[in-house]
Amino acid sequence: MRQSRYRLAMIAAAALPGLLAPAAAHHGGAIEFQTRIDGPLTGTVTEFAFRFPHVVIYLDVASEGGQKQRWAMNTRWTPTILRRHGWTRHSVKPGDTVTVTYRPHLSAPTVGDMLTIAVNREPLPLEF
Amino acid sequence: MSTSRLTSTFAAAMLATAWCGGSSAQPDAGFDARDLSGHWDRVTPNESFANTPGGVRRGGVDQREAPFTQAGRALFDATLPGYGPRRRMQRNDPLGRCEPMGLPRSLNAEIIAPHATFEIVQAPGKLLQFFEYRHDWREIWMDGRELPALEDAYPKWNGFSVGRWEDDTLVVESVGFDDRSWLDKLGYPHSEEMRLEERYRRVDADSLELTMTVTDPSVYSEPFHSDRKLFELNRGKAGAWDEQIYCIPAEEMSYQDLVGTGNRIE
Repeated sequence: MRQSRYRLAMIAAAALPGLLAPAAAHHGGAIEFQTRIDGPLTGTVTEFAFRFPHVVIYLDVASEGGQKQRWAMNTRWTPTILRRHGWTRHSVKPGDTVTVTYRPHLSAPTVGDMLTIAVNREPLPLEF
Repeated sequence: MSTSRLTSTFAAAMLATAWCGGSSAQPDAGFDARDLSGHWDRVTPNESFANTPGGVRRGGVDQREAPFTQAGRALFDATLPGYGPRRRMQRNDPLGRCEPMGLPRSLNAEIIAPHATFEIVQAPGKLLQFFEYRHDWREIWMDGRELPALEDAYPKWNGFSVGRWEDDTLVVESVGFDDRSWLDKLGYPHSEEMRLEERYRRVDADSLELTMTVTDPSVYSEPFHSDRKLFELNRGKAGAWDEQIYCIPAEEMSYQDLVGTGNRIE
C-alpha cells in the first residue's frame, strides 16, 4: 500500500508538468523559479523550518562523487495553510528521507520550489 | 490615550466578542445591517487596490491605469514591486523590510486564503479592525469627533479615522498617513496628504461590501477609486485566531536570501 501510494505520487508528479502554474505567494513566487520541473530528488532532512513567511525543508543530497550537497526546498505555503491540510511541525524530522519534485531556482543550483514530497515514502499534500 | 490603554481596550473588546459569541453560529436572514462585527474573509479575487493593470480582471471590466499626476507617475516609477506587470527580483516593497502595510493596503487583504481576512469589533464610541496578516489593528472613532486638519495630523501608518452611518452604509474618513506605505502590492504610491474614504455595506447576512476612494491631488489628478471588494462572514472563526502572523526581520531576510529576492533599500 505504502509502495503504491508512493509510486502514484511520483507518477502524478511526472504527469503534472504544464498543468502547474506558479501560485501567487507572499514573495511573488512566479519569477524566482523556473517553469521546468525536476526530480525526483532524494535526500536526508537536516532542518524542517516550519515558519513564516514560507515553510522550507533543508536536506543533504549525495552527489555523484559521494559528497553531500545541502539543498533547500521551498514551499509556496505558510505554516497555517499547511496545517489546514494535515501537516504539523512534526511532519518532517531531521534524519527523515524525503523525495521531492521541484521547480529549480533561476540561479541557485541547490534551491527548488517543491511541488510534491514523500517523507519516508509517504506522500504529503502540497497542491491545494 | 496611551498605547497600553488602547491595547487593553482592544483586548477587552476582543474578549467581550468571544464571550458573547460574536457573530451568531447560525445564519440569520434578519441581520442587523449596522452590526459589522465578525471575521470577514475576502472572496473577490483582486488583491490590489483598484482594477489597474496587474490586478485580477473580472466581469469584463477593462482595467484602467491610475489617474497619475506627473509627480505621481514619478513616484510610481520609483516603486519596485514583486507583483504585477512591473514585478522584478530586486524590489523595494516596504513589506519586504517588515514595515507596516498601512492603510489602505491592509484593507486589500492581499495574501491568499486563509490569511485574506480581517475582524471588526464594535465597541462603545469606536470600531476596531484587526488585520491578522501582520497582526495590526486600527480604530475608527464613532463618537462624533472630527478629523484633524491635514497640517495638524501626525503621519501614522494607519492614519486617523472617524466613521458615521449614512443609512446602512458605514462611511469612514481618514487622514494623516505615513507616505512610506504603498496603496497595494503593485506599488501605487501616496503622499502624506492622502485622504481615504471607505464605504462598508452589509449587503446580506454573510456579505460585506467595501469600496474605497483615495483623494491625493499631488499624486492623482482625480479621486482614485478602488474596485468593489466583497468579504464573507466567517462564522466558524468567531473568537478564534489560531495563528499569529508577525513579520520577523530575521526570518524575512533569511527567506529572501534563500530565494534571491532583494528588498533592501537600494
